[in-house]
Amino acid sequence: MTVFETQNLTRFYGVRCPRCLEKTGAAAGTNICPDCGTVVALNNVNLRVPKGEILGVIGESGSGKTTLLRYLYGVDFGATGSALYRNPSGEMIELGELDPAQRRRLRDREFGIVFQNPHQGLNFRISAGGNIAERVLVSGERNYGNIRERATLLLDRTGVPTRRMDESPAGFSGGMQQRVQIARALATEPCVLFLDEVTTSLDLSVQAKILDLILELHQRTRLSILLVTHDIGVARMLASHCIVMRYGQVVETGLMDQILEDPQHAYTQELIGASL
Amino acid sequence: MSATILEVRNLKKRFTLHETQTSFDAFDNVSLTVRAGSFTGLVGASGAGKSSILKCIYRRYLPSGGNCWFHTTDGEIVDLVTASDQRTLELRRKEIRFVSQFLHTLPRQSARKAVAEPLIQSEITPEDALNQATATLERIGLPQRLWDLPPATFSGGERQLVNMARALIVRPRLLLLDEPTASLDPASTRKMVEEIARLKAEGVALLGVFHDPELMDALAEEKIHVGGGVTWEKA
Repeated sequence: MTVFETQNLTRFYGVRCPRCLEKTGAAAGTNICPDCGTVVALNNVNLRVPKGEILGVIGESGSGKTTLLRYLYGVDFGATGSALYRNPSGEMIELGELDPAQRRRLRDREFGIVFQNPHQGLNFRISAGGNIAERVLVSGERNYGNIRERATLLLDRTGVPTRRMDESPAGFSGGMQQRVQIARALATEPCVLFLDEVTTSLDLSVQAKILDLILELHQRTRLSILLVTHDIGVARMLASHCIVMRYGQVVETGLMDQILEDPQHAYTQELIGASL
Repeated sequence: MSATILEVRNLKKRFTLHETQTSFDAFDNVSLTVRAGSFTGLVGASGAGKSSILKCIYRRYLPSGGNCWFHTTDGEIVDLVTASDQRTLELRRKEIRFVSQFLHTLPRQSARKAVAEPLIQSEITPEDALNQATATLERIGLPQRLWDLPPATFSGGERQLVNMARALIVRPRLLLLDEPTASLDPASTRKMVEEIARLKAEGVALLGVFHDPELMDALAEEKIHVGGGVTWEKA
């Protein structure tokens, strides 16, 4: 069972001309059309995100990983092609046919996201607890006591000392801010979690603890996770499935251990070779 | 004759290294059959492709041709060469287990958690999974003082026991063994051999490589000679 399925998903940034697609991609060695200068951020991307699994999306900067995540998450609307999402009741929904309000509802209730930069995912003008309460409120809960209880539980589960829940996350360490982001993302019990380079800016020991937390949460909740990372070590540790992107295209898909031990595409071989 | 669990027909693996623009065959034209309750051994010189055959069946390597028909518990026949990634993963979790030469676990995870991991993916509670892991480690013979320590701190032989326990916490239908006794002392080796005999008696199909020819002779019902890019079956 899949939670997302895309077909020929394509995203242009620029004026676009009839030759943009053929003149860009992994074989062309660029994602910028030489004729018109359009950036082809996603070039006919076909992928399946298996339900309850962690799909690692790896590739270098500019390969289209984050664009893909932003489109599926629903903060980018300009892609062509098809992207189907299977909601918890099993219906397949074409994301491109939803209006912005409907996509917002999906983000608020069924999806959760953790960004590399905590400033993007958290509101630093309110408390850590408030950041979580905000999400719980959107899901329809109105009782103050219940909301506070839920925020306390989530912070505790993600390893944030609950005595600090009334402080702004601005005063927290980087690792702690990521924990608050994760607690916030989980507040509405989403069925899909999007992780965008969540450990990239953390030092190694903190990074390890955040990865442990994500793995433990996944084992307990069986969330579907889309994990965008340029760090193959992170993907190796968390993901069961993997796609490799380059210049807006998916150059290889497979099981994570197979991609690591027997990479097929020249670029994947280079990438794995460079990481070991 | 007992039921067929795995039929490998004309399996081939060709590696292509793009950077040096070279290709070579790890093995070619391998055919073999593995039955319930029996051990099929792969023999041949180092580099003959024994491990590569096991990895292709497990799909850690992508086979370049041929078929691996696996008969599932539900009576379905799945070609492991062409099965979807998700189907392969499901079979790995429930029916096909692999004891590799090296143990890969998460750096800070305890031995018990590492062993319980395949079960945590299924429906049972984490507590039950840990209890079963404990029972499996006990059966395999890993000293109790090591159960809650990370395997990264273990000796080669101790790691190999964890590796074996991890494969056996789920009752496999097919067990692939890649030199599971290579780094074990005689006592642990005996334990491992007993375990393999027990699995055979319970009807598990085994395919594997043993470093030690005497062990191989003692355990294997059938031996397949691998080498020179061509393999042939020997009765």
